[in-house]
Amino acid sequence: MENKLNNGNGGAERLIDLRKIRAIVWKNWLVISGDKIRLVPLFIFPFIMVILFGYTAGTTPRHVPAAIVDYDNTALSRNVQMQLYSNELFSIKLQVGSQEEGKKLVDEGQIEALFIIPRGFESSIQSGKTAHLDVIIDQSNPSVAQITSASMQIFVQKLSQQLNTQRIAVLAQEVQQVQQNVGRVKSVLAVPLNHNDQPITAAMDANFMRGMHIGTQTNEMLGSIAQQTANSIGYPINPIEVVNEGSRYEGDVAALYLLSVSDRQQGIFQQVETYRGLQGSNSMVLASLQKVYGEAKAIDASAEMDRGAVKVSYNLMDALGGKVEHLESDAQSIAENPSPIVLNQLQPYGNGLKGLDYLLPNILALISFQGATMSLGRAIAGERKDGSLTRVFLTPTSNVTIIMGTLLYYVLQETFRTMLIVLAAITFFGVIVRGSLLAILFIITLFALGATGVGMVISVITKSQDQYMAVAMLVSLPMMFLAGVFAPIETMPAPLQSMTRALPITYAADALRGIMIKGFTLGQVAPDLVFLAGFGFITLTLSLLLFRRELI
Amino acid sequence: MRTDEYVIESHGLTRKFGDFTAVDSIDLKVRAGEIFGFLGPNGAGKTTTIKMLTTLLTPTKGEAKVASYDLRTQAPLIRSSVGIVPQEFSLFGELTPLENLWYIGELYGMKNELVRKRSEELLKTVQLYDKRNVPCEGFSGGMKQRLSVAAGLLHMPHILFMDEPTTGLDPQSRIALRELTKKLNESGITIVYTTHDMEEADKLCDRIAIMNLGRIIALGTSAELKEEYGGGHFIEIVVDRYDQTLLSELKRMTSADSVEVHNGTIKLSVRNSAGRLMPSLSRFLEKKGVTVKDLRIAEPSLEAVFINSTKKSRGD
Repeated sequence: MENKLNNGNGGAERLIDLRKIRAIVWKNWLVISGDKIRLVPLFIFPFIMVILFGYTAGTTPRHVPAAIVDYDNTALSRNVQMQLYSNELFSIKLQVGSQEEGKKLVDEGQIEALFIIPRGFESSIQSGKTAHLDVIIDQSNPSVAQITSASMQIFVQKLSQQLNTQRIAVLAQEVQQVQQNVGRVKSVLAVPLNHNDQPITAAMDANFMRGMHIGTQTNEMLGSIAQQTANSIGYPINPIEVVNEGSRYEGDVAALYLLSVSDRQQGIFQQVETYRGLQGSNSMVLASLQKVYGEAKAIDASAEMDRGAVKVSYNLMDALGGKVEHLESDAQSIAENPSPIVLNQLQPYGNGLKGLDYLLPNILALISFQGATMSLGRAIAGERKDGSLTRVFLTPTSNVTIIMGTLLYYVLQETFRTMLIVLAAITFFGVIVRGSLLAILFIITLFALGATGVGMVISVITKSQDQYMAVAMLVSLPMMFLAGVFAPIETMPAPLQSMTRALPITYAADALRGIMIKGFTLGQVAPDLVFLAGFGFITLTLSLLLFRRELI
Repeated sequence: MRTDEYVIESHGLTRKFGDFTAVDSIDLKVRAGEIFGFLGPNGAGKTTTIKMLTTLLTPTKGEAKVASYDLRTQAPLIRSSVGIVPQEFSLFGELTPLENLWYIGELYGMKNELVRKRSEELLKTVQLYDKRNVPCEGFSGGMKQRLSVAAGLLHMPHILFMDEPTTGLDPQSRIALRELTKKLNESGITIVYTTHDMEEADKLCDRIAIMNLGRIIALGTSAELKEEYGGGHFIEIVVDRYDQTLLSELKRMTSADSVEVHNGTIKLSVRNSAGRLMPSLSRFLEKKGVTVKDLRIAEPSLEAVFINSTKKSRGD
């Protein structure tokens, strides 16, 4: 009888049985896919999140109500005003007399942005210095504030480019003048000269060398500026860079970047074109200078030169040299100060909100965590209640195998859902991910392991789905507010801030931010990964320790 | 399998939940090939006993051998040898019968081929083959219970535990499930069956253990239990008229323990030899000028056994 019992009744119990783990995973999928009412929301949820995220926060608001204070009242400041009026990002409601008056309007909520053109705006630009355009943005709506701030950056950048273009145009005019003078030198020298005057020719030699030197330097410099400017389109510019350029403030979104990049590229192309033109003109001046000098030399050699004519040509060449010098200093000032206007965001409310690019990783971490803690009620607690766990307990299947199989399924499910959000954000909202998707997958999987582990711990200590939900709420609700998605962590009181530092979600978000925004590799976010791995290990161990096979 | 072999033996099996003793020192022997019934009211400890014997609960005290394996040290081997039809439907409603059986087969580590073959056989046996690919959420109580039986038998166990399998079923499903149980038993499977339905236990079980308050208070075949606890036999008489004098004369004449009247039927409780009393009773009634419509000997019911045995266990 004993022999008979030992045969044919299935295999022995192993601690980790891969085949059974696979069966548990597949069973869970069958259970969930068999229940369409659960399945559909499960996978539609990520898309809803992305669409909400994309449309409530990710796009550019237009016609933000604004007002202007113009303390400068010059041609240039009026030009800036005009630009603000014609820009569709803002809708200028009115002009106010003072900053205080404008700020009151912001406080009352009548306008969301106040532009302040400070005194001396035009004169600092004309003297080649950097001028500030000040702005106060209503911070009561953080997402609008962020977008407005980012829009402002782009607006100011465009304005700077316009001013540069104007200055280059002036430079081009001067080049034309030099060319005209060269023509005059030529016509003067067309008259055969017979005089020979050593001191004059020596001075002419020296002057020529100086002119050539300056001209060549200018040429090189213009060439390299043009090259640099051209190069700047050669690599993908990320939104942070665009915004960070010329500003200390972070904050922008991918959508805005896309909006702006074509404008910016166009601006850069224009600039490159102008620099190239300038370089061409300068080369022509140099060539002419050389030619004139050659002719003068020839005349000098023939000892038939007319002294008076040489004197005239000397004077003209001197003037020419001066012009070239002037040209160089102008080009230098453009090169040194490519942004004549800089946005200066005044923050009377003392707020420093971060951009949405900063938020996306937090959103991902939060969704992953919520999904994991909310969906494991069925896993052990639910199956315990409805008795289906009894069946499993009746088979020679170890606790470790049961827990691992169940965990594995939910880790796969949560990872898949979170990756859907990443892909949807990239596809529909042009979110730019600088690091590798595989690295993101790795982090999300690692975090999902820990998050599912939390769910598992709750699931093994509770006896029904109702009990599970009560405990899970307790864990996941505070997490929602501490995740930095709805309120920035920086604005939280200090004790809460240090609390967030103990939360795995913070480390997951940090690692994701590193990969997505900074383009880090996994090695560069290793400390975060170690923390997450520890989190996963602890929850897994806890759920194994707390898992009771007994059915009461 | 010979019938004098024991597939379950327990000694002093006890389970406490805190201060409450759900099962109190049970000694038990179940023979191979029999249908062994646990009869008792709700809360008597039947389910707890079954859970212990199937390794779902650890005993607080005592020991047991199930299918010749030790309960404490060889639990996985016991799991491979016993099947269970639990009280509640313990399969996945979202899954079809075939999917449910596949999953269970995987957890038993059975070969795929074997699982497929067994599933088809079993689903035919429990008459669910036509529904093999339909999610079982919509199944009736009887269908679910039959599928549960199939699931319990998938790995060819030698002992099948059935925990109140007919509770909540309609009469037809009850009868069908009882028939199925008998058929399985005839094929050689030992069945441990719990119920609080006395009629069911009487009809189905070879031997019955009556449980109350965590103890086995009586154990034996139905006939043995009735003999011991039935409180003797009853003689039932239906007559056209009777009065108090007649009743007391009847009692004296038959030396009955009690005389009761239910719906016109006079019920005499006699200790024994009811058969020998019948002719003299008949003559006595004729002499009294009473027309006898019916006169019969009634077997004691298991109900009486249950009531008497529980009384006795409480020391009344």
